[in-house]
Amino acid sequence: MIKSLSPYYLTIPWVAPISEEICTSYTLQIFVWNGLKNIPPINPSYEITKDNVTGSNASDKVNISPLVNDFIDFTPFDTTVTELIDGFNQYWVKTQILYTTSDEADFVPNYENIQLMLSGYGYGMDGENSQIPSNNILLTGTEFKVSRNGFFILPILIEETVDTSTLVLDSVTLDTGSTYDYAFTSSFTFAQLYSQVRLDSSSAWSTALVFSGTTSPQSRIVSIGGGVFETRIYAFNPLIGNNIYSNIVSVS
Amino acid sequence: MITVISYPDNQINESIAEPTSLLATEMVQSLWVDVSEATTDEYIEIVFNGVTTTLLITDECRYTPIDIYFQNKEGASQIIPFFKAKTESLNTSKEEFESDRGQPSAGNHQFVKFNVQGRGKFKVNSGFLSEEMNETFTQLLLSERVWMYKDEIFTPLNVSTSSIEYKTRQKDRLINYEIELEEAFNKINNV
Repeated sequence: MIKSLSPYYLTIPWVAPISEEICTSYTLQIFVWNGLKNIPPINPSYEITKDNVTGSNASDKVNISPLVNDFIDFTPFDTTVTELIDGFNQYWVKTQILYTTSDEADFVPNYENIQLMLSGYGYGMDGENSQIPSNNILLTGTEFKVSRNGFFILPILIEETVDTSTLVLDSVTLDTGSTYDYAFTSSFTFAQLYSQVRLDSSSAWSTALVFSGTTSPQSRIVSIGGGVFETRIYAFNPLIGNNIYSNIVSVS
Repeated sequence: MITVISYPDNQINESIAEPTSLLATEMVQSLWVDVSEATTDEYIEIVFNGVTTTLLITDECRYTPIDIYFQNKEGASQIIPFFKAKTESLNTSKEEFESDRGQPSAGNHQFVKFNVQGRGKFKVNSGFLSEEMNETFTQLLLSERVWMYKDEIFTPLNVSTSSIEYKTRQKDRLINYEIELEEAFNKINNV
């Protein structure tokens, strides 16, 4: 959890984790967005490159709060009945480090981390990177006087959705010619269903083909150069923000 | 599960399943309690994560209570009611030039005002509170965003009070805080 009105420090080792070499510089990429946790933007909101001028093998510390805080313009919201409503005043922040060493393999995302950011703060004696209360209730106190004609708000942090969605490819059977029927079962709803094929001997999947419908069974033409092929289906689960892939079925 | 139950007659009796999400906007949820749904009940208990939050319903007969809505320490929304007297005032500013447009005896202004502007202020009193509320008042004074919430309208305010002397039951017996708030906008709209 990032409370962006107080400093939030990232500790970044100067030693690249892949090659274990001391880097000459690192690039910190910061992504800030307010959609699904699993779908960060393609381009970072901020990118900071820092040289290792002393050739240190220890760690560096960067305060990212001043950079990310401006994304939240705290806005009020209301309802007129007793109910739970969305908070709106929070963003996801993803950080990752790219290292520059003599080994090009280090210039890939390392130490990827996604945190929820709130426009809160810690007190002077709370220490670095202060966190919200462990009971996930975002206010202090357990007893309040309220007006008979007024309102009360209990802000809470909820749990992240655990991905339990499944997509099972039950069977793939030849219909006519090169047309195959795909029978499947899924535990979630989706807008489009995709399929891919590959030769039994290959590790590369074909470009995905979209089925015309989303209910089982669906059919497609497989124009692959003879022999045994493997196939799978997948669909995007909007609740999770992930593509859910099925099992692989071998067709001879 | 979150339960909101008013006692003794359960006029509010809600059980709300705690949602899960991966959307940033949904990760923090605000449980709004419309206290007026409990027309005669005396208190409300909210249970979440094994923690019971008790709301003591207060009928204020003489004054009209004011709900002050603010961004708290955790970056979430919170409401604090002020039950007692509200004293309103207005601060004005102006510029003035001296003119020779005509004799004052003919009704002309020799000194003409322009760029007149004003900002409303008011002082509100919390009514008697427990010592536990000292922390809430700390967070109110440290808040960057404050509103008055009345009739479904958020009126933007800034807290003018810049210091607070914490009161204790031992020394002060009854704890009341007077807070001065200033409208965060000009009286004459020039936005």
